[in-house]
Amino acid sequence: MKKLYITVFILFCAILTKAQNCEQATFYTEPASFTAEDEVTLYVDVNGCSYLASLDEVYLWIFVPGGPGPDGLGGNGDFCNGSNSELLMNNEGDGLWSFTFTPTELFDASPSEIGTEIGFIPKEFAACKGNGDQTVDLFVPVESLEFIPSESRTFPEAFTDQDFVTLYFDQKLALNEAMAELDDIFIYVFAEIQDGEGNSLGSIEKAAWTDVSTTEELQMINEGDGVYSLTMDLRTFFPVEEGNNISNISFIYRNADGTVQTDTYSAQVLGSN
Amino acid sequence: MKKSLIINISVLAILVLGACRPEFGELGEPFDRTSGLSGTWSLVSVTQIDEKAVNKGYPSFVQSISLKDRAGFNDYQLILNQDEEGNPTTFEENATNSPAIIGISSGQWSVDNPSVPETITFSGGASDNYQITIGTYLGLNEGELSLRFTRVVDGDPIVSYEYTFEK
Repeated sequence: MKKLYITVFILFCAILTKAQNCEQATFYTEPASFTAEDEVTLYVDVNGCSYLASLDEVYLWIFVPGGPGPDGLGGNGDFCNGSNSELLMNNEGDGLWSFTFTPTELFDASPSEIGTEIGFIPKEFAACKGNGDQTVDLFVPVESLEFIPSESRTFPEAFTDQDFVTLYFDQKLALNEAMAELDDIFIYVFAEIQDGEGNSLGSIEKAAWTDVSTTEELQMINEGDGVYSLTMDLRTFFPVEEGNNISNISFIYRNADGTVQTDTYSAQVLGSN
Repeated sequence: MKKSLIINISVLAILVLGACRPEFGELGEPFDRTSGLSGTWSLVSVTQIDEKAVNKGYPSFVQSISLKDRAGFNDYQLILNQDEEGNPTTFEENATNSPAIIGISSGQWSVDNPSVPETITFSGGASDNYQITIGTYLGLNEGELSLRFTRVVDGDPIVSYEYTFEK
């Protein structure tokens, strides 16, 4: 029987403590929706939380549910004994507090690790007094970084002139309907060259427009399901003199005689470290 | 009281029995990882990984592709020689009908830590250096070598290459 009293008492305390975490805070973000790579400002209105509204300083306790805390700033601190001073919110006046961050930087985590939700608790520097010195757990959604299929893409997305790059053309997504009917697809491709100082040296074609269909390396491979690809070793694909580098590649997908074609696509070539 | 005593004895018995180790066979000779790296290695697969796509959690078909056939790695061989003590000495990159990986046809190779090597450095001359990391030791004593190179631009990994070789 005694044990039953203790259990009921603990349960009561837990309910009481939870009840004393303010549930009346409201919040919004700018922009309204954001991805893990976007900078976002979180605004919290604590006017519904009398104790928090009376404070001169409000701190943010922030976390990824089941994931990391704000490792990019050295963590949240100690919930009951003192928050990380880097997580002091900005007083916007009239009970409105804000905090600006980029999720990938704040959590020192990749978008996939951050997922689709961020949890946070506006609180007093040292909370846990059970007097409304914190809100309940609040959650803000994070938009997924979505892969958007298109008629043209490069693999990888970012590369240097020391890398292999594969160009993909998807006939199912062709903007020019005539491109969707082709059995053989070729690429006209040229590279912008610069010297070691970054000065432009003009461009180099892999082959002239009229020679594309007779240049073996410029015929794309049919991978099936309307997808064509062409892989280039950028170290050797263009004749670039030592000391110079490629800053950009541009390409047009086309038929053999050049009467059917896409728009011109470009991809930046990053400088390698 | 009697019931709780039985429960306590049962828990204790489970803990004691759980602590018993099963018998294992002989562990055999310790495997020397550095000397295990030496030999003539033939390239069997090359995987290119888009690190940005991986970070963003994009679908798997835009995260990695196999490069061996599409880039023409047909006859690539890497020969890593060692001295009598099993220390790294010279290497040869044979890529007659294949793109180069190291880009130095021959020279010296070394490892960062002879006991537990993580990085192999290939040197061909005063300024020719190429470093690659060992992807995993799994399979090494069965004649499989896994190497990985990650290109970093402005502090961010952008693309990796995983090379698998067989002895």
